[in-house]
Amino acid sequence: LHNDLLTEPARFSPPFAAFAVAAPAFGICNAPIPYSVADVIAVQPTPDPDFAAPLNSAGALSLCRFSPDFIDPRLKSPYVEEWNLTLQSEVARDWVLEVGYVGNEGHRISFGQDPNHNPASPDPQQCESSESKPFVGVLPQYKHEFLVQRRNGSDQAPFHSRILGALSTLIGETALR
Amino acid sequence: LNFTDNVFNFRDTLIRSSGRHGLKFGLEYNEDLETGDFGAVTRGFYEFFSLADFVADSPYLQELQIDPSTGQNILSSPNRLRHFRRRDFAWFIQDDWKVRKNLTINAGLRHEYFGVLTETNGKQAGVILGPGTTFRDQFVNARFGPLKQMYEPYWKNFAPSIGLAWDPTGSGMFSVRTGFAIN
Repeated sequence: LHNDLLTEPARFSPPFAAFAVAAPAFGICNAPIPYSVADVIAVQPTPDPDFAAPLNSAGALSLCRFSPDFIDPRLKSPYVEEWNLTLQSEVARDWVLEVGYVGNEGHRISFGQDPNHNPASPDPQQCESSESKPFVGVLPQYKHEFLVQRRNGSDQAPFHSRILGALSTLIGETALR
Repeated sequence: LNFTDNVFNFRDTLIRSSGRHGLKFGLEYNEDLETGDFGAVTRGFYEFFSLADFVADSPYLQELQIDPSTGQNILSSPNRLRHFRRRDFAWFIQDDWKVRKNLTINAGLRHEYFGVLTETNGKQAGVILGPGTTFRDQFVNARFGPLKQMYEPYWKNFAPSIGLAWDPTGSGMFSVRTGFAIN
């Protein structure tokens, strides 16, 4: 996106185009914010029917510091699929053995996304490295849990450990009262 | 600071047991009326990477809230009062069916509508995505502008659930339970 702003500023409608035009003069990453705290307090931005960002007419913001923060207009409610299977057996008087499996999968989970990031470009002017970033689309989340539980009363002292990230065990021990 | 939040909620559940069935039906309505003068960040908001940057008057983040229709600080604007509204609605139906002495099936369906925040006088703004086949293209062609709603309402939040409890031996010593649900 950084490169797009520099090479194809015409693609960007205001106020994005304003940043694209000003950035080359300062350099993308190192351009100083051209006004002080006092200037910010006193700034009286020019009214704009498109709600343009309040740019100071004397300078420009660095693209790397330009960070629009908004709600995705494509937002839909997230949901979770859950399933389980439990076998329960009374192995002796006051003793119950329970073996179960619980799984769930989240869909359309809300997550932050940085559209100002260009993961493909090795350009040293880029502010960020090519590290993996949140992707566009559905973000699935899985959790699978196996549990083995032995109980013989109402008070339980479960022991819960996680194995290999998604796989975990639960062992419950209960004192008879 | 002028802020009032009135929340109205109605919910009811009907339960009917008939023979082997235990039926439940319920609904809920929620209305949130929030009126406020939207007075955050009126004196500027600044963040610094270090104390040295603070001394040098060099914040990395500067934020000021303005009235987009006039460009004035929101604190002195007569246009800062907002009347936000949101309505939620949900209903469900469920049956606990005792098929046999050793088998019970639970099945249900829930539908939820989560209302989208609106401003009664249209005084909210956000990003309006532009043309393009990908989100990136839509974003770079985007513009800021007034929005009736931040996103489109979504009416398809159906949440089915089904489960069973089974005693295959009929002895009361062993049971199998399984279920699936969308929440």
